[in-house]
Amino acid sequence: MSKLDLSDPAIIERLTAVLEAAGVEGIEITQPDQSLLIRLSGSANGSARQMRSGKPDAAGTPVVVKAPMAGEFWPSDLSRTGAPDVSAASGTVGFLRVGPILLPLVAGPLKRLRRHLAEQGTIVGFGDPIAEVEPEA
Amino acid sequence: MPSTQRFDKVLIANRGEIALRVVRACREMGLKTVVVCSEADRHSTYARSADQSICIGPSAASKSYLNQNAILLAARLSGAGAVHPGYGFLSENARFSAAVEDAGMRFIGPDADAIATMGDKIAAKSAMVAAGVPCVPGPDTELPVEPNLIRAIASEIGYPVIVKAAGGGGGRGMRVVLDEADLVEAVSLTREEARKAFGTPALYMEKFLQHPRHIEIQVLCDTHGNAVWLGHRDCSMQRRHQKVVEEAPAPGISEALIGPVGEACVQACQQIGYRGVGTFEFLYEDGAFYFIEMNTRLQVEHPVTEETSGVDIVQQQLRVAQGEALSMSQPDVVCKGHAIECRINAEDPATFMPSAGIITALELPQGEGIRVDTHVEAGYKVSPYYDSLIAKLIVHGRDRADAMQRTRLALASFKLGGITTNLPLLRELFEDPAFAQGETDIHYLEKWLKTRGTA
Repeated sequence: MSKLDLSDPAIIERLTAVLEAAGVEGIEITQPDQSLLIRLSGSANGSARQMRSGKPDAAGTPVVVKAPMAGEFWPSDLSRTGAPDVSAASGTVGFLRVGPILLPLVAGPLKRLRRHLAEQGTIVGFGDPIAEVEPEA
Repeated sequence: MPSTQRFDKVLIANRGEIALRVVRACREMGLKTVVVCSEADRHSTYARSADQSICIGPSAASKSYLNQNAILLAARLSGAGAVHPGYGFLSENARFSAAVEDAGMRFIGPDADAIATMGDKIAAKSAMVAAGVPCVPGPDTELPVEPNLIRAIASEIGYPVIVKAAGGGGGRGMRVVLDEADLVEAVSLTREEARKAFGTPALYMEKFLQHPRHIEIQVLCDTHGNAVWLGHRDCSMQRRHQKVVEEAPAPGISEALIGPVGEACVQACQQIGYRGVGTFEFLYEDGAFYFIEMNTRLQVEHPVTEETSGVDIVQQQLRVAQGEALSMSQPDVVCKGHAIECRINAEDPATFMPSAGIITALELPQGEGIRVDTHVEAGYKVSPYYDSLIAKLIVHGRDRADAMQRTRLALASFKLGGITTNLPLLRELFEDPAFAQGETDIHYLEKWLKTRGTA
């Protein structure tokens, strides 16, 4: 994967345009020496882009996390080593690889990953089930 | 972009019957297919008929089938080498054509410049005048703002005139003016509508023909300078500028009369370096043809030309996009018999209100010369989000009378339950003596509907 210059205004502008077009609310990109956080507040539809189905607050009820856009599914960030990528602390249940970008799939805090519903490396589409999570006890 | 660009996987940026039609053509040529779909189409059988299906967004077309970035992303992810836009949606969007090619893929259609030229009706008319294609009387330049100059142009053309938006098309952005008293206000209103609807206030003015027929000429062009025309169609049976029945060839028009027009269309394509398939639309009145616009894409009604010419137009599109030279020259194009297409719409046959819901039963007509292009089946849920077209009945006969009779029988045996469709209206229309006679004009259907209490 080629390295992005995250301080380049053109890169930021292009990423923002792509996120807006895809209906994604935000993205966080971290490299060893740079990081970039884009949050599109007041986006067109204002909806949370970590799509879920089920009853999120019911105790023990599993919730399905769906893909907010098309991409290649990865259960963990392959650019890192040693760090637990899928964690209850971050609520991240996997990543969508979209070109040079890894988009974190966030289930939300205090959720425990029950199982992945997509295979590693498969191309998933908008709304495809990615993972099943449940509230932490 | 080089003229030769081989690809083995095609992403189809469309839905419904045309997506399925392109899948079929690709499969017959050994090409892999990727269909993009919206949330509403996710579970459709047709979406799964492709080698790969990728959901690209919510049901609203603006967030899925019109979302260029989402489509390009799906194309990149799937490794597609080409994008087929079908008709409607992004098929005549010059920016999309350019974006596909900038991304290193082939847009299966003309290049962005040709789409932009033909999308600007003034530029298109100018190009046609230069190529010797007959046009409607009126200048091929933008209408000035000065009222006296506008009056002078209208006076020179002769009333009634029609004011049209340069960025319009398909019956949108136009206003008929019967006399000078209404002229300036009509121009002002149309200009404002054009600015809002098409992003440009540019207008032009033409003679308004009162009883024309809608005749089109299908062209096919490769990237080596070769071009042919595949005969002509009559699409006069329209309601509110939406075609209901199309046929090929146009009845009552001799080859001697239309031949030079077809040749002029071919020459125009060669002059502008046009690539792929296209349709020249004409109004026809009192034995004369008047160019109105060119559609730079596959048409809904392309099957009637396929049936009479024997040419698979979608496969030809794919071959041209691969950089192949046309395998036929004009003398090889021989049209036989007569073909009719009926658009089967999910709509109330009396009120024309869209009819969404689940198709509970479906029995398609079968037999010699009968073809049905459709993506629906029993259990299919007709979505309220999209166009109401659910099937096309195409019938080929040895002549027009034979095709009409076969169509009557096919319509009678076409069974579709669960939702209302325009099948009853079509059955009744095919019993109409004037339609059976042929050569009715573009206003005929609306007048006929009024006589039976619907319009």
